[in-house]
Amino acid sequence: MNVFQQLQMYLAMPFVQYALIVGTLIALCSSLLGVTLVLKRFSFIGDGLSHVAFGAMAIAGVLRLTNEMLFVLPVTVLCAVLLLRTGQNAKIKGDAAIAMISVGALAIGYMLLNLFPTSSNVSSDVCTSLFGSTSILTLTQLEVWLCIGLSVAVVVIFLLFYNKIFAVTFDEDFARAAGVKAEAYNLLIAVVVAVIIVLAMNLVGSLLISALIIFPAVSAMRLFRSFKGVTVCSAILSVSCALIGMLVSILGSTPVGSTIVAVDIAAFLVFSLLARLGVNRRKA
Amino acid sequence: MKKAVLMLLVIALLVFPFAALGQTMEPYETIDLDLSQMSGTIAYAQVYQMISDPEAYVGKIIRMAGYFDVFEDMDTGIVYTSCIIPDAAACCAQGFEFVWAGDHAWPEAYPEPGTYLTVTGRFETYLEDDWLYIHLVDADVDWEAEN
Repeated sequence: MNVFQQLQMYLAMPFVQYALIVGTLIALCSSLLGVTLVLKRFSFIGDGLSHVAFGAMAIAGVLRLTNEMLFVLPVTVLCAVLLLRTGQNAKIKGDAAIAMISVGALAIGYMLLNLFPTSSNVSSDVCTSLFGSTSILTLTQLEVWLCIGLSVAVVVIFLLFYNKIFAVTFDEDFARAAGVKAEAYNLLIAVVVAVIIVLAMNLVGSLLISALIIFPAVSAMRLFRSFKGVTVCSAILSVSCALIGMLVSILGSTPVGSTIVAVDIAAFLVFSLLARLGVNRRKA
Repeated sequence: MKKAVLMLLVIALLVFPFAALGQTMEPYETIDLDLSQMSGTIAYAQVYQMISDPEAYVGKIIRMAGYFDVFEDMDTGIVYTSCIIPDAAACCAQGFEFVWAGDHAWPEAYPEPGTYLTVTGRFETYLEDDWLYIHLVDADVDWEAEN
């Protein structure tokens, strides 16, 4: 059986089809908000929130919840809001607050998994949560529909509020002076980022989510200058890398999450090389 | 002439054991699901699907390749043998218990735990202490012996 026949066989399997649909949608969502996060210097918030999601998932496991996402999502959204508010007017600010919540959630999550193991193999549970393992290939139908629904909601919100998000991303003070409710939109961004993080845990695991958010955006910025150009390029690049990564993973028996991130890194290197070779940064 | 006959004899002697081995290795004419031909990632995910929804696979002939593992219940004395497929990250593993067809003395006839083997058998479910378990019955087991 050659590679194409093998691929044909795999693509006929329902769980592979689910994985490709959900993976594509997650990659698209993460790239859309990735540009905003990178430009607002919020790249690390994604990392912090992903650790919070890991901690929440551990609690959901201890509580033996059938659908962990219904618990993980509100907790992550709450922490996203708290992080954003602490960044504005609190004694512990910015990166320190993110680092505290991030490592705190990671430590508590790991401790809970050890104290109240949900299966006989704790290291397997931890590994699956941190690196995704083959989570994307083992989704239930309910999880697939939940992912599709949330992804559509993220894309619709981004398209509806594109101009406001653009304004808040580039110059928050000017946006505020122009009558834009910057705080409300920052809150919206935080909520949407939390949703993306919870979704992306299925694809790459909580430790690798930041890569999915940052790499496509930074790669696109090598070649494009306008917000629209970078966003469109980032979306195409992220979806392409996710698809290539998933296909390489299922054909080559490599871990799904880290393969996608490896493809993202390769794309970043190619885009950097093109930028150095003089492919002009265009305003697209 | 003598050389030709001798050559044929040698070829026949060489081919016969492999032909015989082939017959013992292939008791099933058709395989419904051949996990041994799938990549590790897909095989792992497929086993997960079969464990999640066993009723959909009952009666199907399954072939899988993985690592031999064994559990001996000290209370009942029952020996459970299984074939385990690790995932690509090597931290998780899925597998099936199998019941080797024929009489095989434990532990002499069995390979060492951790040996890579191929198991072909019929997928069935059974109840034990009100728990639903799955296994491959009438299994044909094959592995390469260490030299």
